[in-house]
Amino acid sequence: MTVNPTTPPAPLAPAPSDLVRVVIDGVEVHVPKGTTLLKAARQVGIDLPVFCYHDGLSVAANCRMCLVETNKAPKLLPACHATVMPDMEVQTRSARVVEARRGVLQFILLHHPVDCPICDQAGECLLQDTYDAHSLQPSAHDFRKNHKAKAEDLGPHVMLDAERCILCTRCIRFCDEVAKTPQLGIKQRGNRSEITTYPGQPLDNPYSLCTVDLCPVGALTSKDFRFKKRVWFLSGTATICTGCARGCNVRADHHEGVVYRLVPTYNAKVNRWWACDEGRLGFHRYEVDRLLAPRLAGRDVTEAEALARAAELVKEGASVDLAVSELLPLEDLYLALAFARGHLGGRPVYVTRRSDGVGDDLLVRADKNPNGAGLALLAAHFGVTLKPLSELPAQAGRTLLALCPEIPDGCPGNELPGKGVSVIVTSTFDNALSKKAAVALPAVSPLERGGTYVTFEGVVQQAHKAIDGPAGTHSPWVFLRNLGKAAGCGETFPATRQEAREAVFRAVPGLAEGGRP
Amino acid sequence: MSRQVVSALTARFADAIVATHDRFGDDTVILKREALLAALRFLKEDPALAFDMPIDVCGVDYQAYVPARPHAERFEVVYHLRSTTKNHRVRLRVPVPESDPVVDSSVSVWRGTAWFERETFDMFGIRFQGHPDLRRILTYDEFEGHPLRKDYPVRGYQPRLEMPRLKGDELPWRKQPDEEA
Amino acid sequence: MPARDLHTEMMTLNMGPSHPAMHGTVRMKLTLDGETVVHCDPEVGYLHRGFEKMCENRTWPQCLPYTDRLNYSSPLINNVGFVLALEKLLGAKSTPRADFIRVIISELSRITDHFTAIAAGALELGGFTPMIWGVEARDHLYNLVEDLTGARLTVNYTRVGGVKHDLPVDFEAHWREYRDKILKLHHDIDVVLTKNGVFLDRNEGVGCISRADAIEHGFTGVVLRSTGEPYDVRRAHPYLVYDQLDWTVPVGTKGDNLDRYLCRMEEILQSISIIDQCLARLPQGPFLSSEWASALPDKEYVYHTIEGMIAHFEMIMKGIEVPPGEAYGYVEGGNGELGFYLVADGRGGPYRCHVRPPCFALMQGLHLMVEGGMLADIIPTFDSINMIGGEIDR
Repeated sequence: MTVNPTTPPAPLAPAPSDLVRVVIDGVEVHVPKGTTLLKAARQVGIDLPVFCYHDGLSVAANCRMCLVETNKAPKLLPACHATVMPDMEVQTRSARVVEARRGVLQFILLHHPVDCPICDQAGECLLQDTYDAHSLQPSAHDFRKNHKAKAEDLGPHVMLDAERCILCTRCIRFCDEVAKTPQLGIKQRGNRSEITTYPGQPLDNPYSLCTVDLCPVGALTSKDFRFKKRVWFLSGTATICTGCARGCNVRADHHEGVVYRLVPTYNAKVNRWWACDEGRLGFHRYEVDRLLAPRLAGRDVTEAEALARAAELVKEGASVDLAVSELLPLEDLYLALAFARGHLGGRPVYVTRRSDGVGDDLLVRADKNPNGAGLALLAAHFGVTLKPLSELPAQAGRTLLALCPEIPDGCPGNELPGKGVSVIVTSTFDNALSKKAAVALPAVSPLERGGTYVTFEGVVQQAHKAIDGPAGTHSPWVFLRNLGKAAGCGETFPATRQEAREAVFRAVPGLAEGGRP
Repeated sequence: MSRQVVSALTARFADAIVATHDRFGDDTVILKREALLAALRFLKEDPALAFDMPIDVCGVDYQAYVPARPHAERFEVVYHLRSTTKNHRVRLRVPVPESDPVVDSSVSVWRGTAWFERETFDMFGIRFQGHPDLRRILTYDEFEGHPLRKDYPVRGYQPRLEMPRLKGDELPWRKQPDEEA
Repeated sequence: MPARDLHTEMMTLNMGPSHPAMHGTVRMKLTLDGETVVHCDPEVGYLHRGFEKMCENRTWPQCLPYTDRLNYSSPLINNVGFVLALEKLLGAKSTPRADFIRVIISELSRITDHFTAIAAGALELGGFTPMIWGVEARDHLYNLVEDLTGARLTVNYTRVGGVKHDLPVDFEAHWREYRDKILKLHHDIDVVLTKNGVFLDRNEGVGCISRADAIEHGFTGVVLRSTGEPYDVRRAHPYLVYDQLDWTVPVGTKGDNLDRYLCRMEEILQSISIIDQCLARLPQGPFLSSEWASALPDKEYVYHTIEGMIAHFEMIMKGIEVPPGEAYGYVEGGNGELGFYLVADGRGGPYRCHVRPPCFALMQGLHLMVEGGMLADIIPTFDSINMIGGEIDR
C-alpha cells in the first residue's frame, strides 16, 4: 500500500542573499543560487571526473562519473546537474564515491575494445586518464565483448568506431545545439546502442570536426589526422587560424617541422571552444606548390642576385607601387606601410585580398582575410589611402612590389597585373605570378611565421610561429629590410619579429592585446 | 629511527630549524645554513648522538619543483650521517639561496665529506667555504656551467677545447710547409 | 758519494687513466720520492655519463636499466637498491617470494663482484692462474644470471613490487651444479694465494688504514670491515629477509690488503650459504605485486582486457606517479653502502635521483693508504678497494 503525501512539503525559507553556502570536502564556499555542484567544486580547486559533461553543451548527466555524496539525498547525485542547496555538505572522495566511480568505469569498460595500440586517441584519451586516476581495477568479466561498426565513414571528415563509443552524447548535443544541424542520433538500445547519422545524410556540417575534439574516447576521429602521428610526439603552438576574419584561436600540433593538425583552443570572446572544418584543415594549403628559390623572370637565382635586381627596380621610388595583402600580420604591414610612406611617396597603397565567400551565424565570416581590420587600422595611422589592386593604373615601365598576394586565384579582381609592369613579389606559392614576375622571393606561410592579427571585431591576437619554413623562405618584412639595405633606403628596420611587434604597439596608440583569455 | 636526534637538534638550534619530519622512517631536519657548522659539530661530538660517519653530501636544485615546500631558496645541500656506535641516522637539509650559493665546508668536522662537497660544487656551483681543495671532480676542469642545475640543458654542448700543442705532436702527413722535415 | 749528498728531486708521475691496473679508468697523479709515494691525488670522472641528469628526464621504470650500469660487476644489487629506495618512497610492498629472490640475486652479484676483485688483484701481482680461476667461477654465475634475466650485465630484473619474472624451473638444479664448481675454484684460489709468500709480501701490512680514519672518511663495505668495524648494512639495518637467515659478517683487524682479501674470500662462502638457505625456504606465490599503480599488469591482462591495456599504457607513458616526498634507501653493495636519495614531485619520474656510491668515499681516502708506501704497492691497494668506474662516476 503506498502512502501519498497529501500536504506538499513546506517551502524553503528564502536565503538572505543570492549566495548559497555549501561545504565541499570540508571547505566552505558561497556560490550563487543555481550553481551546479560541479562548478562549485571547481571554485575550491576540485576537478571532478566527467565524460558527458562539457561547459559548452547542455547537461545530460548520463555517464554518472561525477557522482558525489551529499547530506541532502540518500543516493549519490550527479554534480553536473545537481544544484547547491543551503548548508549542503558534499563529499567528493568518500568511500562510496570512490566505489561508485570504479563501478561506473567498470561498466563503461565492459564492452570497450582493447584498441589502445591502434586508436588515435591514445595519449589524449579521457577514458584512459580517468581509469588511471580513479580505478586501476582489473576486469572482473571474461565474456566476449559486443562487436559494432568499426572504421565507419560518418561524413567527409569524421570516422566512427562504434565499439569505442561510451554513448556520452556530446556529439549529438553539439550538432543539435551548437552547429544547429541535428545530424547525429543513437540507434538500437541497451548495450547495442550506436551513434549514427540519418540514412542519406552524412555528418557534413561545417563544424563536424568539433565532434572529434569533444569525443572523450577514440570513437569519433579525424580522417585527416588518422594514423599520421602519435599525439605524444606532437608539440603544440598557440596560433590563430588565418581562414577568415573571425580569428579563431587554435593550437598547431607539429613534430619535426611538419604540422599535423589544428585544434581549437578556448577563447571566451572569439570562438569559445569551436572552429570550423575549413579553417582547421586550411594548413594543408601551404604544403604544396611552394616557391622555394628566388627567381628572376622565371629563372632560379641566388637571393643576393634577386635582391640586387629588386633594389635596382625600387630605387626610383616615384615609379614604384606597393601592394600589401590582408593576409599579412601587423608587423609585416607596418613595415610595408612605413617603407611606402618613407620611400615611395604618399601615394595610395594597393590591397590584395581573398574574395568574399559565404559566412554563417556561428563562426564563419564571409570575409576570408584574417587581417583586414588590422590593415585598416595601420592605414589610418599612417594616413595612407588604400585601393584594391584592380585599380592599379596599367602603366608600362612601373614597378609593383607585391607582398604575399596569393593571386591569381580565379576570382574577379584578383588577376595578374597588366603587361609592362615589373613585379617584385614575395610569394608563398609558385604560381603564374611568381613564374612571370621580374623578381620572385620565396615567402613563409602563416604557420611558419606567426604574427599579430586584428579580427573583424577589433580583437588583437598574437599567433606564434609553429614550424620553420623551407630553407630560403622569409617573412615579407625580412625582405623589406634586406631590400631597404640593398636599395640604400636608410631605414632601420627591427631585427626580429618581436621587435617589429613592439614597434607596432608603440606606434599605434590604443592597440592592446585583447584576444587571449 | 629514533626521534632523539631530531629532538636534540631542535632543542639546541631552535631558531635555525625550518622544519623537521620523519617520513618513511628517515629523520630529517631542515636547518638554516648559518647554524650548519655548529650543528654538524654538535652531531659529531655529543656523546648521545655520536655521528662519526658521514654517509653522503649532495645538492638539489628546486627551481623546477612545483609542489609546496618548506622554504623558497633555490638550492639545498643534503647531508646524510650515521653513528657507528648508536646505529642511528639523520638527514640534514640546508637551504642555499641562488644569489649567494655558499655554505660552510664540513671537511673540518669529517675529512670524508671532501669529495662529496667537490661533487656538489661541480654539479650545482655551490661553494663550500673552508674546503681545502674545492675543484671539479666528475667533469673536466674547463667545463662551463654546472650540469645538474635545472637550467642546464639535458643535451648541453660544451665549447671545443684547444688542445695544447706539444713538441713532437706533429703528424708526418700533416707537416707544415715551413717546418723542417 | 754518501746518499745524503745526492741531490734528489720529487717526480710527478701520471698513472692512468688508460692503464691496465687503473680499473674503470681513473688517473692517479703521484708525487714520488724515488719509489716512495709522497702524494697521491686520484682523479676520477672519466666514466661520468650523467646518470643523475638522465634519470631526472625519465620515468621511474626507465631509470632501472641505467642502474645496471652503475656497479657493473654486481648489477643486480644496483637494481635491488634502486627499487627498495623507490618502494620506501611509495610505501609499496613487494611479495614474500620476491623478497627471497631479491636476496638470492643480491648474493649472486656479490659473489661475482668479489671474485672479480680477487681475480684482478691476483692478476696484477703476476698470478695469472688464480685470475683465470676467478673468472671461471664468475662465469658460472653469469650463466645462472643469464638463464634468469637474459643478460649477464644489463639485467634490469627488479621491479617495484617484486621482480620482472619468476626463477626458471631448473634454477635450483643449475645452482647446485655451479655451486660445487665455484666452491672448488674458491678452494683452489685459497690454496694458491692465501699462504703464498709473494702474495703475502705484497699484501700483508700494505695499504693499511686505521678504523678511525676509515669511519671518518665514510668507508663502508669490506674495506671498513677489514679495519675491525663490523658495519654491514644487511646486519645493522636489515632489509628483505636477511634477518631471517643464518650468516656471519667477516671482520678484519689490521685494515690492510690481506684482511680485505680474506674478508672477500669468506664473504663468498657466506653468500653461498645465504643462497642455499633462501632456495630451501623460498615461498610459493606471486613474484610481482598486483598493484597496477606501480607494477605492470601481467601480459595476459594487457593483451586481453582493456583495463590491463590502459594500465600498461599509462604506466609506460606516465611512469609511476609518486606523491611529493624524499627518501634515502640503502643496501649493502659489493663495495659497501650503496644508497639512493630520491626526491619525487608527483610526476612519473624522479625529480632528483642521487646515487651514494660506496667507492666514492673509498677513493677519497685512498691517499691515506698509499702515501708513504712504494709505487708498486699502489697496485694491490687499489685492487683491494675494488673501485668500479661506473659506480664512482655515474
